Amino acid sequence: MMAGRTIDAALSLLDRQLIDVNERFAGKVDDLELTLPEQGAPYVTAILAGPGSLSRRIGGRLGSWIESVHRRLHPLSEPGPASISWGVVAEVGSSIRLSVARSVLEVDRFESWTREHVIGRIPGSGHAPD
Amino acid sequence: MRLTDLLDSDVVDPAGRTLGHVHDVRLVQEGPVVGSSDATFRVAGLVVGGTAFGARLGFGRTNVQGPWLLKRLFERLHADARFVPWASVRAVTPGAIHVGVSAADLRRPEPLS
Repeated sequence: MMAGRTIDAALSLLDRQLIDVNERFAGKVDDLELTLPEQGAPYVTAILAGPGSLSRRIGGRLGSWIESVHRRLHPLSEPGPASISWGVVAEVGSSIRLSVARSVLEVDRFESWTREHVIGRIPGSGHAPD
Repeated sequence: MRLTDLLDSDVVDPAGRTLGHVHDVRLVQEGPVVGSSDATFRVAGLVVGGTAFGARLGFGRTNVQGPWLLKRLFERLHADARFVPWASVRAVTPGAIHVGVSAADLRRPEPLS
């Protein structure tokens, strides 16, 4: 990444795919965490990804359902989006490349749950279409 | 604070007039190092306009390729976009960002590098 580069956050970061170090899909950027220092402008400290923050943007009953599922998976923690430290962002391009595997990210648990409990139950999901 | 707290917020000048709302937040790569990555992105300022439709698709930025007619339409909708440097922000409240400048003080956003 070059110093001095300028981007518009909603245009270039929101909804971008996250690709992990193994070239696997690791979620999408739903929001950014901005930290306000004592002096100066806020800076990006994390990407918020996965259903916890997406429900905020979807809103309505679908958003509430997504959030309730997320809460069920994280009963002991505050419900909220998966937070991916900006420290593991390797490259910002048409997708956001991470320097870690997605298995270490919180987003993976919801994906696994969805695969097993939602997609897995759809008839025909076990094999490719004819 | 989250990016979505800023997006679509009203931008209000010292006289209480609404200058527009936040179309986008301009980031510049120069902030403190976070973890082992390169320098992070710091907020340079707000892209403020009157019409959000089409703006976030990128149409209106003059260096975006796209269907000619749509591009011209959204350029007109986006023509009133102005840039508010973060240094001009006085307070961030739910739904409204109070700034220390008025409409006459604002310039169009620079083309993206």
